[in-house]
Amino acid sequence: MRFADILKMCFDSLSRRKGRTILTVLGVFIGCTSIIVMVSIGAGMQESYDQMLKNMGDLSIIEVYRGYNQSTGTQTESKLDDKAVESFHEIAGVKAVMPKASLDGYNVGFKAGVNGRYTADWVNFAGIDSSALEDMGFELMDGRYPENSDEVIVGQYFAYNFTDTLMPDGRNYVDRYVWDENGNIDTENVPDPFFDPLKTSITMVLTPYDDGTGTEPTPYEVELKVVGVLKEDQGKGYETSDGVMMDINALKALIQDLTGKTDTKFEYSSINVKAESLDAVSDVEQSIKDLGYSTYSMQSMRDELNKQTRQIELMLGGLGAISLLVAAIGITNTMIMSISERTKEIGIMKALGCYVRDIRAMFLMEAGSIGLLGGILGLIFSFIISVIINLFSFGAFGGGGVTWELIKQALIGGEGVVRTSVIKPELVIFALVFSVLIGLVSGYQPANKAVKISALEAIRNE
Amino acid sequence: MANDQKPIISVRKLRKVYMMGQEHVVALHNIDLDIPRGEVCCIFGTSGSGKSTLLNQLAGLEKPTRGVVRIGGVPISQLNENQLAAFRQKHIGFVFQSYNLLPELTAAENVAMPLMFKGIDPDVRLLEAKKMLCRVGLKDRMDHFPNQMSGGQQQRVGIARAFVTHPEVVFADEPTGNLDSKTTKEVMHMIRGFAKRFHQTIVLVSHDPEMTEYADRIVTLIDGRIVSNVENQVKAEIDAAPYIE
Repeated sequence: MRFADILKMCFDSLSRRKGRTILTVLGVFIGCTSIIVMVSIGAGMQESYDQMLKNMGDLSIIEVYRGYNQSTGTQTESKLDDKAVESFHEIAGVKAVMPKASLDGYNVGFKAGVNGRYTADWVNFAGIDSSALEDMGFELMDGRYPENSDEVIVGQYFAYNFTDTLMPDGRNYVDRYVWDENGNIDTENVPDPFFDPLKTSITMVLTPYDDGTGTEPTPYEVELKVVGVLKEDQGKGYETSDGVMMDINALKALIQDLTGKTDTKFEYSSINVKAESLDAVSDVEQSIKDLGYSTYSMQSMRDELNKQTRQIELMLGGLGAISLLVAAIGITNTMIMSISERTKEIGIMKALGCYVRDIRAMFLMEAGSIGLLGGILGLIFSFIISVIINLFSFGAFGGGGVTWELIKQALIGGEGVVRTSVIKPELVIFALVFSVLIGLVSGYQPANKAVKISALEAIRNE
Repeated sequence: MANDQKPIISVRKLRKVYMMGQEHVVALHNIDLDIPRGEVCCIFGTSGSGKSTLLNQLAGLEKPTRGVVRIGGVPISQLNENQLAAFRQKHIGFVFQSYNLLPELTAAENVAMPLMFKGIDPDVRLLEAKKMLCRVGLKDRMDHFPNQMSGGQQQRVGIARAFVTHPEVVFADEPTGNLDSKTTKEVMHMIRGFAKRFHQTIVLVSHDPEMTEYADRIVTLIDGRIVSNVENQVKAEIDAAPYIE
């Protein structure tokens, strides 16, 4: 028989007994919906965990430290040098490597404005690979990323570190912390600092620490070319808030100027490695560990949370599966009834030369279609329920109003959106495959029963 | 009908025993039977004579306890279920007492069903089916469902279905058992007409003596034994006016 004919026979017989078909499909529909919605709530928990971790820092960034040998209690030979940076670049799944160096032995201060009117001490200063800024996910507030090694970039609140030397105490600085009437920090109405770092000449003043000889150390001054302002992101370092970041090559040159010699064994204070995706983090982290370094990332915490949510998903899915099991029994029941009603019909088909495999295919397809139909309807309904749950959790019904934008967020999420119910693509596929499978498994025994019906049934006269 | 060629159906030492509780019931004793190609053969007997059992063995619907049934040389009593299905598709047609049309299919679709099992394209098989329906005089009933037709019309659909694959042998089990005498005549004329025109063999099972009028050979069964096997001269007027359009 042709596949299309089997399909048609199957749908003819399903539509002939509409009431029963609808009720059986309803069973699968309810079972499927309950599984999808239950599991989607588990996935929603995962989304909220991920969001929580994201607020704690970039999940894809691995911090690398010098290796530590636990048995001897000493640091291993692995060094955070240029060779290390290079070897990290070569690891598969690495998106960017950000070395960070500090300037030891000097107090770093700044002067800005005409005649150095504004001054700042104790500002964070770091040497970084400025070409990796963008890939590492550092966001710009203003200006651009540095392109040459003589250009520097500053943190969002860098300019608030400066005091005005021409003003009396108390009025000589701009307070960036503004409180609203509820006593919360108001980030909307922060007053402007004294100057715009992009448009003001800034000089870095390096003063060697007092070496105890009693001689006044001579400050060393460096003109800075500030080209960009970074958005504050504590997960990426305090420098993004208040600091100044200089390209690592410029810092090396500066150190050479200061000390008069080339530091051939230059080492970084830390190296951060960003993985291409969250899924790549574990592998990249392991590869770095294999090179003899110690690492830290959010991955271990994420793994733990993932394990938890997976358990919850399984538990919730299991609850939903009970109703699907009931539905499966319903399919079997329907098929057995259908087959006993059609005993004579099957006998006739056999007498007219229908192959056994075609009869089996016909009934399996019937059972499978019931499953598929229930699965599709359940899926559609699950999406509707999921969107409604999410709109509730967004507060859309509490006066917020339902907009298309909100519905879209409820359905597919978005940056910073935390949904209560998340239907992942793999859940969609799983639900469809599973419901068809349930149909086939439930229909298997009845189909075999149908196959065993003798062609003699055609002759038998009631 | 001349017996000069090999018989299309040949039965040798056929025995069928049923178990009824603890008792053996012998439905067929050593049956030997040859039916030549192109003959209309009536297996005649009262209820319980074993005629239906014999039909079941001949058509391969049941396996005999012993002995062999050959159709066109193929020992169908030894085929497995798949081989039987393939054999039925090619060589066998059935006309049933209760018509056995599928209620959700139209007349044309019912007739086309054996072709569907063969995997023939829907357009082709419906065309064939409609040709057959024209031949049995149901030109304007093609898209009717069985419950919209009279018994005689339904049986004509059944006949069209049995002959649509042009099988070598058509088995007819009390084909007129549910019909009145006028329709019986029509139906029997039709079956005989097809058989003669396409040189097909008909095995007719009946308890109705009237049926024997249409048969070239009458095999009478009593208690599972063939008591007579005679050739019969069919009246010229029956063959003179075959009911085929």
